[in-house]
Amino acid sequence: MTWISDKKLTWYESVCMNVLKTGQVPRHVAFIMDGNRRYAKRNHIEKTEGHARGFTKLSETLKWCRDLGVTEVTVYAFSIENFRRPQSEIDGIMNLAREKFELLLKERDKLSEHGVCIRFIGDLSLLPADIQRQTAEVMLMTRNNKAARLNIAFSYTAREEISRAVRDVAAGVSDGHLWSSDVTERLVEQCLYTRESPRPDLLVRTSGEVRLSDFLLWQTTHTCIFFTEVLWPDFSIWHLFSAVFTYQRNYDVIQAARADRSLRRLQHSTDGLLPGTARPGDSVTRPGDSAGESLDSTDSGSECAADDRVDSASQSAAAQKRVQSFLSHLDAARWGRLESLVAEGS
Amino acid sequence: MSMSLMRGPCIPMLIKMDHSYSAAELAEPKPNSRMKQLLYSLLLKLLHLLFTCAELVYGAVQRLMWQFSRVPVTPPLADICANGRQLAKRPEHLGVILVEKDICWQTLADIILWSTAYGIHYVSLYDRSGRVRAGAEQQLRPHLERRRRALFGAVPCTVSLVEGGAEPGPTANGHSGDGGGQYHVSVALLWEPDGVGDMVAAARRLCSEVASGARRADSIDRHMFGEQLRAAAAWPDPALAIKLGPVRALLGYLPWQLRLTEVLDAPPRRPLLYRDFHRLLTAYGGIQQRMGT
Repeated sequence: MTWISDKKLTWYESVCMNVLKTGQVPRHVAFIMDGNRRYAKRNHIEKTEGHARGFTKLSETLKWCRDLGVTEVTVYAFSIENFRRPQSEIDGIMNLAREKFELLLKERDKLSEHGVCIRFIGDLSLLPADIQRQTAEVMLMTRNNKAARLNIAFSYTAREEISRAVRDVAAGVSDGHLWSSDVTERLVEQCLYTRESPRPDLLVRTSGEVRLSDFLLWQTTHTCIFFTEVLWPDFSIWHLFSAVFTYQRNYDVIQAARADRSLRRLQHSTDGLLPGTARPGDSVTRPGDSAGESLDSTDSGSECAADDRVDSASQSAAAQKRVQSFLSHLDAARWGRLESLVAEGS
Repeated sequence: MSMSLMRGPCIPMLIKMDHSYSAAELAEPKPNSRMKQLLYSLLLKLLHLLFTCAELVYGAVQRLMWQFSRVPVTPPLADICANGRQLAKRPEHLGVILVEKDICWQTLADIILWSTAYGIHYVSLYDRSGRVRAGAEQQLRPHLERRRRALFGAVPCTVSLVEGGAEPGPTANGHSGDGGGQYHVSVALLWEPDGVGDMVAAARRLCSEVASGARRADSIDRHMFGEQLRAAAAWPDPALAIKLGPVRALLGYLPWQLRLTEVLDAPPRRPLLYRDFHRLLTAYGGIQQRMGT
């Protein structure tokens, strides 16, 4: 079993894929991989075997996404709430995780060849120490891979992510790196686990459930959501095609909503600067100062760029410098913690 | 209406050829396959066009059928209340997410009043651009008053419309403050800034408190952060959200509070029929949440 499946497509799957690829393809797809246990019950197998088959499906799905041209995938592998499951099941999942993360470490060359960067998002401190070290090693090993990114949400909830980001920002204020007036939507977003990533364009949830279950709540406000009845281990390429087709059919209206949102934020931010953002003598960039500035581009990556322009428009140069310095400091601290984890283990 | 590729086309069953393509072959179109790309592009456009035509025809046929069929009469209040009592479970807070071009004010008024009859005390109406907030006085209140008289008659019913849901406001029947009677509902009128914007505002307030020394940064966790939000403050999280419109996105509705919200799509008929509302609430009653376990 491998993380990088090379299973070939049939000719009709290839044709359908090529047809879909001539339209809008989501850059970032998120999956709530639900239904492993129900699949196990339906097929009279153990729950751990159901989770193992779920992993096989993940590997296949990543291959299909790669073939489609999706450059970022985020998967909801294990929620903080899942720690409430019976200990025997948790132990089974952790053992499976150990096995699969060890496999990731062994597939270093394959990951480099495909340029895949792996990121584990969540409160990893809740995991067993050896798994924490494995995740740290994988993230450090793949940090310079740039072609594609896989975010594995493990020991994750969106509320924990958002409140931690706010706590980090507050700590920055407490330490004097930031002023409270520097706090913007973009700053908080850059402190989330999914910093540097565009917001998901498409969210797929399997097993027939129609809720988000505390997954990427901040990031998916303007994401096309595709709920499907199929259980995760039964998810097929046709379900993925159906999801992408649905994304294409909703593309225009969602992009218009995203553009409208960016424009409204820009208007609100420039109608009145926040107290303390500008002082006499500070230069403040306003919309229209940069020739050719436009909020017309609305794909997920451009949405982040538009948010950056909102901040630039409303913040003084000094504030922007404080924010950049704070983010560099936060980034360095996070990588430092990972390096310490790996060093402790060796 | 659902048209999907979930079961795959019939082609694989008819033609059992085994030629497969590698990822490299799929990666970039070669110059001599421009015609193929053009053909694929035309095929996709045709597929989308067929879907759009099918949706338009289906919609037109449905509207014709509605016009010529007998409109089911909304049952009397006592029957609606009985239906509410029979539900396996009832949301404390019902969300209504508008993602359609035109607002049917009668539908919004009916959903509020049917929810009241079911014993649901919190309803949030969300339209990202603020049309519901802007039209609350001129459009929603008159519809509420008319439909309230038709359904409740002389039975006291209090509907409090609140922007953002932070404080109770003046009521549709002219009384102020919380309704003390059996039938009362608070209705939050929400728009986009009540979502992520509310979280950012809360973050800013907390940081100001940290800056002034009134709070420690490490006191911020997910429990206390939720209490800082002002949209639908002190309300329970919406257990159920009914989406009005075909767009497959929530367009900014209460992201923090949406954690475990079941999202169901209302049928396209406007005004919404009572039986459709009842079916949605019944479907919600059949959903089991495992809460991670």
